[in-house]
Amino acid sequence: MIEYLLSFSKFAVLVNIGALVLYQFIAPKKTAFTIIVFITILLSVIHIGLEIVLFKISENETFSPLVKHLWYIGFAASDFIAVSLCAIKCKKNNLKLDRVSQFILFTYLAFGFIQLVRYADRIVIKTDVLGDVYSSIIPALNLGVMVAVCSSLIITLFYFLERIIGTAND
Amino acid sequence: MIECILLATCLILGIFSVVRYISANRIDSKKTISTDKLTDSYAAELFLESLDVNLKYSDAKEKEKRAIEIFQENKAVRDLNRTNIVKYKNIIYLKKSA
Repeated sequence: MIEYLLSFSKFAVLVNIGALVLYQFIAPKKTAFTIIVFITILLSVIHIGLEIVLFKISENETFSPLVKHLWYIGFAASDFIAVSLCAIKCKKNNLKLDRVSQFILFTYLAFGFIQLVRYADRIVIKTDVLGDVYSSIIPALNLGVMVAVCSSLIITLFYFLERIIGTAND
Repeated sequence: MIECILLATCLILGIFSVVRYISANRIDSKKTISTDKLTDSYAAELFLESLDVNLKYSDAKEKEKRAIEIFQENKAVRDLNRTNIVKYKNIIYLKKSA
């Protein structure tokens, strides 16, 4: 499971980096989408680092309760900070959020609140009923973000090729 | 106790990010942007958007070109414009008069 999560996260980072580079090549301008994808990449790298560090710490049983706190709170806080950063940056630059950007930010907000709900469920009220939901919804949301980034890129690529073909015909 | 404090702190951070997200979604560039900061390409984009012309994924130059074409095709639009065809005041004026 751990290997799966890490490999999926790494794959998502690679896809996002590829998408950002390609997007900058075909539409070289600063948009809300590019800012959000860039911050998403940074966030994914931070998450991967956090996962690795927490798994290492959890090997020592003395620190395992600390890992439980850091896991949920760390991920939730980083998601919220990333969304706030994106929103502040876009507002500062008067960049309008397109639908894909809105979706990505909304997904990260959802990530954060899911982490908090799971934290309350597992650590605060100790009911532990959301384990299955949590383990299936997080990869699903990750996949959703990846699909959104790729579909936006494909649409942009389509318009780019259309323009190139149009220019060649002229 | 510490769990509750952590949860509450993170919840406040979450609420803050939701507020920022809503605020970013409600950007009304036409109201907030100053004319000094408005580039021709951005003005063109606002103008095309106001006319529901879909050039969302086109580049800035193409948008400017299309905005100019629309201005030139439409006499009423052209008459309204005296000096710069894609400047902020004209766009707002056009939008109001539409």
